Amino acid sequence: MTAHIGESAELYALGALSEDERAQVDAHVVQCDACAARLGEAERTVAAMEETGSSANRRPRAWRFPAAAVAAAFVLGLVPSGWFWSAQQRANAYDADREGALAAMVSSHFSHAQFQPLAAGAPKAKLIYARSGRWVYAVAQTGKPLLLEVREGGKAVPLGMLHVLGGSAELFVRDAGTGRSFVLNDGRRDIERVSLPAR
Amino acid sequence: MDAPASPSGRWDSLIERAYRERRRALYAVAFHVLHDRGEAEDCVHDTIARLLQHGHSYTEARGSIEAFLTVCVRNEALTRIRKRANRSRIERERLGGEQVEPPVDAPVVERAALQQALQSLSAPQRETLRLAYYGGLTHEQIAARTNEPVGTVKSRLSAGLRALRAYYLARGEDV
Repeated sequence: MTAHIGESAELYALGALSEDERAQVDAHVVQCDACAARLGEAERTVAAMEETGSSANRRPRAWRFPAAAVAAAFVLGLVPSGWFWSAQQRANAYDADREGALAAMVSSHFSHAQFQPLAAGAPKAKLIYARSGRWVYAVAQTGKPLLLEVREGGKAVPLGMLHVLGGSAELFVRDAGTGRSFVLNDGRRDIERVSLPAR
Repeated sequence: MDAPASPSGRWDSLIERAYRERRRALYAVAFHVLHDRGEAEDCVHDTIARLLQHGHSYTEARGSIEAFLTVCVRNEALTRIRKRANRSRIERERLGGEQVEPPVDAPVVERAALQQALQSLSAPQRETLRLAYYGGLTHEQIAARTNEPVGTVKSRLSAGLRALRAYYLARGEDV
């Protein structure tokens, strides 16, 4: 088998390779599923760039954390009161942490899995996770803060509240422990769950 | 793309169907690079015809056939514009005219939504990615232009695109 393509996957998808270099990538990916998968990821990203560029009604949300959203949720009774202060503390730390979160995501291989609803009205949510198991990143299409928990040996360990960013909520967890089953809780009950494949 | 023929052309009917359904989007991809209606149409047609007649490197492990076609069309369009730039450079040199920037570097209006996505990258990643994506330059041309080692340029492009993938995934898009 020819050499693995490595970074050439992204260069190929971006159109930054010469015709000869592209031919080498083509020859390799037909016999290597791992490199074909990496190339496919890069191609889907470029396809998303093309779509982002050509559609005016799809606006990305800003990467900002409105601490006011948690406060509002507290006032509206959406968050158990005990959560408020600790969520606020984490909120301040979270902004600074975001850069680190993106850096961690870029420097590692990750997959993603969809949460499955346990209750009616559960928002669409997914868990992006490092294949090394180091970190998880939960994203839910909801304006309400939800609690992310991991199940370890039959008990639920809270990882933190999702931060509301406009119409979605998210949480990056640097060390999510060893559990492979995650749930989102709305303060009263578990509303959705995802189980990751065993490492 | 002179890719090895796929065994038995088992993906050909899927490629044809994706082409029929995504024809307009593929044309837009070619047009973004070529800025010429007729050439964009030729480019899409030639890309699909070559994939079906001469084989291709698509396999199931690669995933989305639409994304595969998008990149095939874009790469074909970039090949065309590079050849065009090269021809005009040779022509100018023969006529003794002064060297001008190749047409791929014509200023482009960066589309707002994508610009915001690019803001999630580090400044060096963003600038390098722009030269590749908007400028249509190869990694070697970018290295020559920015006086950076080829390895650095490759790493920035690779990490930059993976960072964009993280950005899209975090927004709930399937990429």
